[in-house]
Order: sequence, then structure tokens, then C-alpha cells
Amino acid sequence: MSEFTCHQCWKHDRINDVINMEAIAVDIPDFMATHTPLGQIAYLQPSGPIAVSEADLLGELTKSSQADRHMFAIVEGEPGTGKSHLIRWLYERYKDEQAGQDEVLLIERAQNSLLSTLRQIIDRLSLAGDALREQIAKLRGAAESLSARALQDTLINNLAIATYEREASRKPKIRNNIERFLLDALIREQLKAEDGPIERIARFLTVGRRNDDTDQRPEFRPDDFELPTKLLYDLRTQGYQEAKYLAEALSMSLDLRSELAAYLNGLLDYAVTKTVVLSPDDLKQTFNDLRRELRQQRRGLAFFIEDITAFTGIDVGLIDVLATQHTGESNRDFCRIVSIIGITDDYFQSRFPKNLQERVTHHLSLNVAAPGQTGAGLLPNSSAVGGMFGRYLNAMRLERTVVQDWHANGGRTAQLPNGCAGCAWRAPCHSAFGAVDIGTPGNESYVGLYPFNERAAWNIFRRLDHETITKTPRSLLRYVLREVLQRHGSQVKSGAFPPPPKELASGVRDIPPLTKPVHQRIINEQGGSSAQRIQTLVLYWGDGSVDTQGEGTSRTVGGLSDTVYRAFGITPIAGSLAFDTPTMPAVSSELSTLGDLQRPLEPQQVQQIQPDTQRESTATPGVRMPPPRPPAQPRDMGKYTADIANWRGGGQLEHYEKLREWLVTFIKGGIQWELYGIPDLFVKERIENRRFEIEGQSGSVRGDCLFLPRSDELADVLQALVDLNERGQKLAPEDLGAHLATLSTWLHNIEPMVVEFALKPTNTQPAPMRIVELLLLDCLLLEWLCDGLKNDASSLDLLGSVIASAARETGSQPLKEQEWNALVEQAKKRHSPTWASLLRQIGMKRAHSCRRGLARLLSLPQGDSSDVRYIDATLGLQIIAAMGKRDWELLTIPAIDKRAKVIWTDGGAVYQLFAQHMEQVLADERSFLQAKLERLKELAGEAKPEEIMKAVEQLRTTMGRFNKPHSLNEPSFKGPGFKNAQQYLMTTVNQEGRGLTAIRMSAGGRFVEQMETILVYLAEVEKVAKKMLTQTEQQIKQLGADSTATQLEEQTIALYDEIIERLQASSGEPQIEPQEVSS
Amino acid sequence: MIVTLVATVAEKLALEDRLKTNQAEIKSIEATLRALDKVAKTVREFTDQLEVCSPYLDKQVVADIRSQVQFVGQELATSRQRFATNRKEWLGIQKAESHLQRPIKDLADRWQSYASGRLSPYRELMRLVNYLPEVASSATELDQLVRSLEDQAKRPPRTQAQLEQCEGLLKTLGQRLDRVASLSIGIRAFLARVVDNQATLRDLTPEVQQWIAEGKREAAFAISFSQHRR
Repeated sequence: MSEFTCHQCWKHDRINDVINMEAIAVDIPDFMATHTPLGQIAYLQPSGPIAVSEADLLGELTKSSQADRHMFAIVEGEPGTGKSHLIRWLYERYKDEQAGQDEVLLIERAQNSLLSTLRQIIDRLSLAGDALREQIAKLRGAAESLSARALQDTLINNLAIATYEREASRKPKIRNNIERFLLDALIREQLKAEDGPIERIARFLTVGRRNDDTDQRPEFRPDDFELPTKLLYDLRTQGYQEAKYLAEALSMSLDLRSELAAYLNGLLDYAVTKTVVLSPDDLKQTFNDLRRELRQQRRGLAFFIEDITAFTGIDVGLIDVLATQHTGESNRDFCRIVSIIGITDDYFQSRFPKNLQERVTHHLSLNVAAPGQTGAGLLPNSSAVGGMFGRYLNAMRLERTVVQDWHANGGRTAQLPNGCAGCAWRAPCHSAFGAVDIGTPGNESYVGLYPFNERAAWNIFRRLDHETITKTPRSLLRYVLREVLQRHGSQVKSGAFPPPPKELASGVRDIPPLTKPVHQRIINEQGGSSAQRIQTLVLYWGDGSVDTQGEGTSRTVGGLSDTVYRAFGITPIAGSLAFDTPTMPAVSSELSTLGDLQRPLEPQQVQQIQPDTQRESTATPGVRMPPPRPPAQPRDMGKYTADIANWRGGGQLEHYEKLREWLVTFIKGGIQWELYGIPDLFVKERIENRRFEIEGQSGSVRGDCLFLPRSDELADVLQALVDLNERGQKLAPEDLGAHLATLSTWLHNIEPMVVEFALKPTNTQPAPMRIVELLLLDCLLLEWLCDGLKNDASSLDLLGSVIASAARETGSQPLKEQEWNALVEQAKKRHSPTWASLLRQIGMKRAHSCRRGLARLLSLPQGDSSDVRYIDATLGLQIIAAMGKRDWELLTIPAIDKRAKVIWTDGGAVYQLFAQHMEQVLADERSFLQAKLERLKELAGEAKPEEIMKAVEQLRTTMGRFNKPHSLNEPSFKGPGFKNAQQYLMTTVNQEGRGLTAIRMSAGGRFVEQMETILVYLAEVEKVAKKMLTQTEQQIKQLGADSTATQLEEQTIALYDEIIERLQASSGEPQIEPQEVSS
Repeated sequence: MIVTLVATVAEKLALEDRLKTNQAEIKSIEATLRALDKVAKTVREFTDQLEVCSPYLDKQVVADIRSQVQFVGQELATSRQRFATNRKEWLGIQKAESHLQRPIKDLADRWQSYASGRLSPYRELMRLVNYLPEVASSATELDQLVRSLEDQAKRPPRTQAQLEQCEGLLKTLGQRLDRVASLSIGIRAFLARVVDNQATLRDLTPEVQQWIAEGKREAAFAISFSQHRR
């Protein structure tokens, strides 16, 4: 005998036969073979709900029929809760039990369109006599009208008619424009477009709803009137004025759109009945005629309707028919009618005629949920799920013909074939995977749950995403049984079942955690290539751990015997010897909400909510379940552990703050930052709690952070940190070792990422250069801009200047705002406007930030600390030397992310300002200096400074001598200073090389300022001299015109000369040359 | 250009200043000019006189005068220089003029001495013959000639013409006197003793008597007692 392994006992092609989302679509034999007693049906009474079973309901129907008593039952339930299943089951059973006593009609939900419904009625009513012919003709006409191609236009036209025939809107904007609006060709095309409201309604009437449609009747929605911009534009030129007006008003008001949708929905029934040319009265008349005819035949009418929305438009007429009794004077001709109809939850409140509500004899609901359960309560526990699985799996193991034969032979439950009956692996299979009894009391029939077990079915079902999937029988069949078998069932034979946890079922969003996170490593290590499949097994089939218990054949790992592993072609692993370490409880079968998933339920809670039928089922002797585990030691799992477990499975990490704190502390202490050259400053500021975001943490994170994705590894790390922090010495040695290994491995793996993060501006932005380089260059250029450099400075000098300024920022007297402003003002005097502008743009705060940051990076003394700390001058010199080698060319860097640390954003911003403006500043500065030299030339020509100074002195002296008042003070500069300034500027202007030029410009500020003083002074000299010249020339002119003094003087001089000449001649001496009369 | 501009300004300022000074000192200039005019006349006359007279004067004397003239010339040259800045130079000019008076006087004295020397023989002759009858008729004319010559001797001639005029008068006087009183030495001695009131009869020498007689000059003489008894 071979081994029980890789065995597929179900027939793959039977999956879709057996599991169809519409009960009606399933063959009756399969339907009956898989019928599972509904766990809980609420009979709503004024005193409160009473739980009944489908058998009770069937009994009520039968009794009503036998007692000729009217019955009008409605079954409420959310989609998928089993309304159709129940009604169809009642129909089948009632039909069998009545044996022709009543005319039994079933209006199926299949396709669920009015057209289909009408056709079903016509088919059913073919038995009718001549009295019904006229009515049947009407129904046929209605069906034909629905199948007509012009249905959509007709529907719109009837809506337009309804706007004035039926009811006018309260809103003037709608009332005055709606008719033309609905008649406008552009609007009609929009309404008829794919998924437009008219298309939806028409489709519902003719084809029925699609799988992804809700069970609600189709209606207009406000967003149907959120019209496209192009349509609005086209309406301006092509549309009716009223249509354009209303369309524009709709585009601006949600309230108006809601109002219009509600208004048209109110007219929809009218439009539908007009469209199908069949009114509720027509339908009522049809059934009244039928009832009369049946009365004459002494028969009753039983009406089973899976979904009332199938009668959209004429549903009110149908309800009237069903509510009308066969008693009373006016109804004496009618036959008895028993009916049961399925309605969605809100139908009873919103559309069911108020005057007929009291005439409902049985108000039933399938929405009775278990405490705390949001979905329907038909599957409250694992046993209910197991029971349902057993029947469906049994049907899948049976050939269709076998089931059909069973059904043909009466379809009795006690005689239902058992697919496991002839299986060679029945014993080990049922032992390992469990089995459920689908027989009747005294005639037990156990069918295996393989390839599931009860726990697996329940675990998958309960973990279906509660946000998108309502937990109903339909969702159990669709998202668990059918999907797992269809997607993965065939892999059993190849030994690839089950798949990894994430692939098992698409409806499961949150993967469950291991009860002992430390077991992850064991699974990975021991499972080898099957690790993920083993994880799936222990997470869904097992108890969530790999604890090993028992020995030999009774040995289990994670609560699963070796048989289970081998059945799927997996080599059983050794697992972890379960010490007395408290364990998380196995996946409890009572959890029904996400909140409940985080806490174990007490056993008595299970009993309280478990229906009697299920208790009986699970308590049935002979069910062979896996050997029970020793009762788990009650453990206070602790909020952190539970949180991590939930998070591992996809939930939120609620206690992320504390966990993250431990994590960051571990990271901070575990990495040798100095090996990476990362200063303490960066470690302190980058490796802090708020800089780390754990995927799924409940709190939001602002700013830049390192994202740690959800992973089992991280979960293990968090768990290890929790255990180490909370339990410390109490940890078992092997757990301690495992935790340390986990932490070590994880840290080793993420260390490069963390280091990179510490060095980067933000997590998403790579470092454009080392921060120390960025800041040093910033500070060097700040020195340059602040005139802090000396001419012919060496790299060491430059570094010295930079460090001196940086040190000041960390000292007790950092640069103040007004000092910075003074620097800007000084720059305005000494440099070009661009230079001063750049200085102003940088601003004191950013300069302070850069300098302070650099000081801290280079380990300068902090504050007033007297600690002796070394300066990394080598690094600084290297950076400056490299800068010099590039001739001060600044490499372009991208903008630093605003979320980055201030030191990065400020440093980056300053650097970018320099990179963007430095070339221009240098060019402008050169022009600025040239302009000064040209101005000097303009004022003084080619004269040398000393000549100019002499002239200035002469002017002042002359004016003083002649008592000429003037504003010309003694120059504040001397000739040598003048000469030096001129020489410096000339040399700077002609200097080659960006770096040398920049340094000269920075160092030459005082010369520029002095030159400016000189120019201002010389301009004043020129001004004074010119003014003086003008005044003097005018005065000379005036004096010359007014006086004979000159002539007299000339005469005198001439006379002097004559006399002197005579005397000299007489004296016999040589003549003295006449001297000019001058001062 | 500042250097050039400043130079121009300085020049113009100086000019303006000078003009302004001139304007303010025009009276001083006028006074200086007047003083200069005055001294100019003196200088012109003196230098002309010196030019004319110096050939007739002692060379040493002339050299001394020229030396003094040179000094005065230097004084005025200095004054001229001062005038550029000090318009009130009349005092300096006057001082120079005063210094010029001495050579002027020296020249005049020397010239007068020279001229008197030239006139002196004619005066003596005139004194001897003044009482003679043949002289009596031209005595007035001769007196005028002498007085004119005496006047010219007091003021050195300024021009050559003046000098020649003086020489001419002197020559005329000599000729006149020679014509009316061509006397021998004995007659001249007798007449000198008569003019001096010392003649005695003993002085009536034959020659004298003859000369008296021949010229019927007896009435021209009278006999009287002398004052001295011997």
C-alpha cells in the first residue's frame, strides 16, 4: 500500500457544477446534495426575533397550505446570505411535499431582469385557461417591448413625459428645464452611454445585473449628472437652451445633482411601466385571473420569488397580489396563495408599500449576526464552515450522474452518497484533516474535509478582507472553497499545495502571524524550499506555531501530524520543542471581527454563540479530528506581542512608538558609525525615532524617514526586541540565542541602508556630496562673500578662516542678525550689487546653520565647552584643495528635498545659491572694479596718484590762499594708500583664474572701499574745481571790464622800467632786464 | 582731468586776485605813478645833464656821481619789484629820489665850478675896464652877458645846444672885452690898483700917462688923498 500523499479526491470539473453563485444556476441534484441547513433564521416578531430553521419554515408553508391559510412571507438578507438558496430549497421541498396540490411558481433570480421575469411568468402560466389569454398577451407585449432595440430612447421619452404628467420637480431649475433636458440629443447620448443611468436601467430590465452589480435596483445617481466638460461645451453651440442651462447648473451644484437623481428615481417606475406597456394593475389583474381559475380547480397558488427587484417597475402590483387574501366578500373567487419572496435589506423600508406592510404574515431575516459580527450570522464558527465544506467537497468527489441518480430516487439526505466511502486513504485522511457528518441522526455519514481541515476553512474565511467582502455563505464558497480549489487544487498532485501564504486566497489581505515569531527562523531553516508552504500549513491548517509535541506517530508540529505534511508532499520538519514557554492560543474559531482577532475567546464564549445544530454536529461521535493538543498554557501575550502578530498579518502596528524606540535604539547602538565617518551629530539627528516609519504603523509620519517595509523578518526583530526588553533574563536560552541571531542578521542586512539613510538628505534623495564637503564649501564661500579671505591665502589659511567663523557660531557670541545686515551693508559699499544681493539672499540664519553644522561636523568645541576636541583639518584641506584644483568651479547639485534635515536643506540651499550666482557675481564684481578704475581715469586721466594728490593739495591751498570758501575737506587718504588701492584693483581686474580672482576680490574689499572714498573725493574735487573755475572766470571777466587799474599798473611798470633803464644807462652799468610784474 | 583743471583754477584765481587787488589799490598805483612821474622828470633831466656835462668835469667826480646814480637805479628796481605786491610804493620812490639829489647837486656844483672858472677872467677884466669911457657905452651889454653866463653856470646844461650856447656867450663876452680894452700888462696893473683904491701918482707911469692921454681918459681919473698916511 502506497502512502497517502499528493492525492486529489475531488473532481476538478465538478467545482463549477457544485459551486455557483446563483442557487438557481446549480443543478437541482447538486443543489440538494450540497444543501447545508441554515444555521440561523430570525422570525421577526414585535416581541423580538425568534430563531427558526428552514424546516420550520417549510412546516409553516405546508401547514398553511393544508389549513387553506393565506401566507405572505418575506425573507430579508444581505446579498449572499442565502435568500435564494433558502427560497429555492423551500420551493423544491414544498413542490415535492404538495405533489400537485398547489400551482407552485418559482421566479428565479437568474439574470434577474424584468424581461426574464415576465418570460418566466408567461412560461409558468401556460397552464392557464382562456381567461388568462388577454393578460398573457399583455405580458408578451411587455416582454417584446423590453427586447426592442429602442428601449433606451423609449425609457427616456417616458421619463420626459413623467416630468409633466406625473410630478413636477420642486426645484424651479429642474422643473423649468427637465423636459428639454431629457429631449436634448447630446444629453440623451450621455445618459445612454456605457454605464450611464439609462444603459444601466435598461440592462437591468432586459439582461439583468452583472456579477459586479449590487443587489440594489438600478437607479439614477447624483454623479450621473456630473457631465463632462466637452459636453457642456458642445451644449453651448448645439444643445437646447434649457438643456445647456440645467447642465451648467448641475455642473456647479452637487445638491442639484442629488435632487435631480432623486426626482428621476421617483419617476422611474412610471417610466418603466409606460415603457413595457404593463402597469402594476395589469400584473395584478393577471394574477387575479390566475387565482380565480385555480379556485375553480380547487387548487392553491404557491409563489416563490427569489428577488423582488426582478419586478422593478411592476413590483408594487406584485406585492398587492401576494398580500391579497382569498377571504372576504370581494376576494371570494380567489384561490389561497402562499408566497415567500426575497428582498434586500432596505427594500422593506424604502419601497414596500406602507399600507401593505402589515399584511406580511412572516417577516424573516437572515441578517442575525453573532455578537460583534458585522456580516450575516449564518456561519458563526468553524464548525458551521466545516459542515458546509464537507457537503460541497462530498458533491465534488461524486460523479454528476451519481448525484442525479440520488436525486431522482428521492434525494433523501440519509441516502446521500458518500464520496469518501471507497477511498483507500479514508482513515488517515479523516484522522489528519478531519471529517464531518452529513448524515442523519442514527445514520451518520462522515465525509472528509481534505484538502482543507476545519481550521483552514475557518481561518481563510474569517480573514477575508472585511472591507470588501461580506462574510456570507456565498463569499465562503466563492472566495475560499472555489478559489482555493480552482487556483491551487490541481497542485496537490504535483506536491505544490498549499501555496505560500500570500497566494492562498486573494480575498485574504492580512496574513496571520506565527504565534511565536521566533519560529519564523525555524521554519526558514528547517523547511528549506518548502518553508513558505509549511508556513501556510501551520498558519491556516495548524496552530500558528511549529511547536513539536508528542512522539512517534502522535507527534505533531504546529498541531499538525506528519500525515498532513506528507499528504501535500512536504517532509515534516522537526519543529521546536515546546518548552513551558507560554504560547499564543491556536487560531480560535470564535473570532469574528478584526478586533476579536487580537484577543482569545474563552471556551464558554464559543458555546454561547454556537447554534444547537452545530453543537450537535461537532459533538457527533465518530468525528475523528487530529489528536487534541495539550491545553495551551494561558499566556498574557502582552500588548506588544499581540500588536506585532496583528501587524505581521497585515494589520496596523498600534504600539509602534515603543517598538520603534526599541528598534532605533538597537540600530543606533548596533552600528559603528565612526567606521563610516558619520559624526555623532548625524547619528543623533538622523537615527531617531521619528525618522523611522514602519509600514502599517498606526500613526502617521511627517517629514523624511526611513521606511521599513512589513516583513516577517522585521516582525521577528520587533518580537525579539519586545522579548529582550520585557523578559530579558527570563528568556529561554534557545529563544535568547534565536533572538540575538535574528537581530544580528537583520541588522547586518539593513546596515548599508541605514548608513546611507544617515548620510542622505532624505530617504528618497541621494546625497549630492558628503555633507561635510557641502558645508565646508558653503562656509568657504561664505567667507569669500563676507570678505573673510586674505590675498594669496594658502589652503591652510582658507581653512583657518572657515574654522574661525564656524567656531564663533558655536561659541557664546554667534553672529547676530544686525551684524549680518551690517555685512550686507558693507558689501553694498565694497562690492557689486550682485555680490551684496547674494549675501542678502543667503541670510544670517542659513549662514549660521552652515557654519554651526560644519563646526559640529568637524568636531569643533561645542558652545562654551572647554573640552579639547580635534579638528579634522586633513579632511578640510583635502576638500579645499580639491576646490582649488577645480579652480573653484561648483558642481551642480539637485535641490535638496524640503523634508530633509535643516543642515541639509540650509547647506543645499546655500550651495545652490553659490552654484547659481557665483559666476555672475565674479563677472559683475570684475565689471564693478573696472568701472571704478574707469571712473578714476575719467576724473584724473593718466595722472599718477601722487600727481593727483599734489593737484588736490594745490587746489585746496590756492583756494585757501585766495580765501575761496569751499567744501573740500582734507582727503582722508594719502598718496601711498591711493596708489595701493589703484594697483590692487588693476591687478584684480586682470587676474586670471576663478579661485585667485575670487580670493583677491574677497581680500580687496578695503581697497575697493578706499577707492570709492577716493573717487567720491575726487569727484568732489572736480566739482569744486569746476565750480571755482566757472566762478573765477566770470569774476575775471567782470573785473576786467570794470577797472583801469591794469592800465595804470602797466603805465607804472613801464615808467619804472624807463627810469631804471635811464639810471642804469647813466651809471654805466649793464642794463637790468625788466622784470614782469607778478606775484 | 583734475591736475590740469586744478592748475587752470590756480592760474585764474591768481589773476582774479590780482585784478581784485588792482581794483582795490588803484589810488595807490596812481600815487606811485605820480611819484614815479616826478622822479622820472628829475632823472631824465639829470641824466641828460650828466651826459652833457660829464666830459667837462673831473673824471673822478663823474665816477662818483655815476656810482650814486647806480645806487638809485637799484633802489628803483627794487621798488618795481615791490610794486607787484605793494602798490603803495611812492615812499620808496621818493626815497630814491632823495638819494638822487646828491649827485644832482654834485653835478650842479661841479658844473658851476667849472663854468665859473671859465667866466672868472672876463669878470676881472670887466672890473678893470668898467670905468673907462670907451667901455661905458657897452657896459650894460657886457653886464648882461656876464649875468647870463653866471646864470648858466648855476644849472648844468641839459643838452649840447645849451652847452654850446653857454660857450658862445662866453666867447662873445671875451671878444667884446678884447675889443674895448686891449690893455697891456702895465695898464692892467695900473687899473687894478685904481679899482682897488691903491693907486698913487707914482703909478702914473709914462705908459699910463700916454695911454691916458692918447685916449683922452684924463677925466676918467680923479686924484684924491689916500686914507692912509704913510
